[in-house]
Amino acid sequence: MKAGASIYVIGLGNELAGDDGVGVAVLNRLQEQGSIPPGVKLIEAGITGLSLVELMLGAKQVILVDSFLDGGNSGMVRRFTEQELPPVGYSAGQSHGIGLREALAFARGVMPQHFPGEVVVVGIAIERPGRWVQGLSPPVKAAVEQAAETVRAEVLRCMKSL
Amino acid sequence: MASGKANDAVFGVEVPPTAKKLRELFYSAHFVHSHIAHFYALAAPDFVMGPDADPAERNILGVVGKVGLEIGGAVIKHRAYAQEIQAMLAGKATHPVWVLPGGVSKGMNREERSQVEEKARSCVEFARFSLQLFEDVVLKNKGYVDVILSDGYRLVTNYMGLVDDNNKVNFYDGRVRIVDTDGLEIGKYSPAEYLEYVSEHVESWSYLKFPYLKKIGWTGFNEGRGTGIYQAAPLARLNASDGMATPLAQEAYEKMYSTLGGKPVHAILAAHWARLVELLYASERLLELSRDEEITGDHIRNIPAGTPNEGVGIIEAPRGTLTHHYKTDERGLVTAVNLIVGTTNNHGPIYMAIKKAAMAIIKPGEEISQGLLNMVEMAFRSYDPCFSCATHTMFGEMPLQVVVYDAAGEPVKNLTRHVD
Repeated sequence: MKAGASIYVIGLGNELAGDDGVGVAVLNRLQEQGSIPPGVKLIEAGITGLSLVELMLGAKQVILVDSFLDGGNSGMVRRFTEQELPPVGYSAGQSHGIGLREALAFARGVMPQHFPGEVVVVGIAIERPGRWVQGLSPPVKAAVEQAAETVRAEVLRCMKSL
Repeated sequence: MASGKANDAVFGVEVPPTAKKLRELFYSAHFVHSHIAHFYALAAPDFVMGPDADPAERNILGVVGKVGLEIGGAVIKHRAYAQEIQAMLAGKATHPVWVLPGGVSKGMNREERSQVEEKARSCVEFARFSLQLFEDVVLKNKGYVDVILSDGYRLVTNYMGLVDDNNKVNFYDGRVRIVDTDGLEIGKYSPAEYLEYVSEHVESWSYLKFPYLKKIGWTGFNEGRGTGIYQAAPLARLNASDGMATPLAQEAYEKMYSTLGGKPVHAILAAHWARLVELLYASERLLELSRDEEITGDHIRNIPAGTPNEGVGIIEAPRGTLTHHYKTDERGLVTAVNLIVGTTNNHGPIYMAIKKAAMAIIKPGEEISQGLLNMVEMAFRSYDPCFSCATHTMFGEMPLQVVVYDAAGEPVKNLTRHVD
């Protein structure tokens, strides 16, 4: 097995929603650079909840890359721990709406050996998602490189801890 | 998938049999993981833990804690199987780019077919287990059966669903059949004819429309004989059909209707049972298609040769009949779009069901407990609605106004978000 085979980097977002697609842009940048150690899985996903967590099946460590709303600090890169994510709840009323933390708790509860013990989020602040627009605003575009570097550092940290 | 079928029609291109089977196989896998999620994550907590259980425990984790952790593992495993089948065919399970006008972009080889067959066999067994669990936990509990059959959860409307030539449920292809409140067929249409049968009513207080049966007309938010309101979701599909096209699902269908007193069933909570019958059908269909020799054929696409113009595609989404209607110019650039999404069909019925449940459950002078509120929510949950799909709202800024009225009908609070 290659060194990073149990580390997954998942880029989240919708490229048709302007800055919301920054998670995918960071993933693309990492792929272009080829600087992520061999074996680490790079996954693009525009999904949430149970479906997102099921992508983590078999991972020991997961790094999510996503935008977060912060009107005044567009382009700021921040690392979030799982505990810092807001709880959404189980009973959103429909099956598209189960929260990430809740889905992770369920998955770990029933198959602890198959799901990651740790999930961190590399977040890039955006003012708001775009509407049917491709491409990133200048401050968010400028943050892609820093976010990619943060992800790389996080991958190396994960590899040391495995 | 509906978009792909609408594009077939826009370009006037026939899809080869192998591609049709591949699309149906992919789509059956989609139903498998969607219906498993709804039953175990949303329906089961109300029945396994009880409608008035502490919300901290009334969730999927509570369910598996009670019925067995291994069942939670089976939920994840079979959802993963279904999504792996989709990813194998189309590159990824969600948001794939695989269905093209006239067919699909990639076929399936024999080795992949064997993998699908093995996973499908397991899905069939898991669907049977899920139906048995429903029987053990829900049907053997008289209290739950009484709740399901109670008047507060009964909504008498027309029903709609896609059927094959034998009037059996079909998720991918066929004609849309409509039955009335007594279960009698009152219409059957091909995708291109949908505007003759369905129209959409508009209310100023909602930006989601209210479809109704055009030949009856808009009769308001009223149930019973003569209403123009219809439902389209798992229970509606079974009500609108003459059965299931696979043997085990047909048995389950017959058992459901014989237990509930015949067709049509108006008890909205029976949708959970219907959803499991459909889970079994989707799993059996997955298995049937994986054993079909033609599915590994090479002819997976006909290249469109005609001038694009206009087309309608209809499939059954897990949440109801899904219609895509496109008009294009001669270059194929879209000039007009109309979508009637699964949840949209049920928009009126969802309001009516919530109101009816609330009026039956909440009594004057009685304290409104968390359990009572959840029992109102159960009416909503039976439809598994997705309002972001239905309103075509994507970007997290849904304009919303909530007005709270007191018992005398006077507004006491007005909350707004993203309302310009």
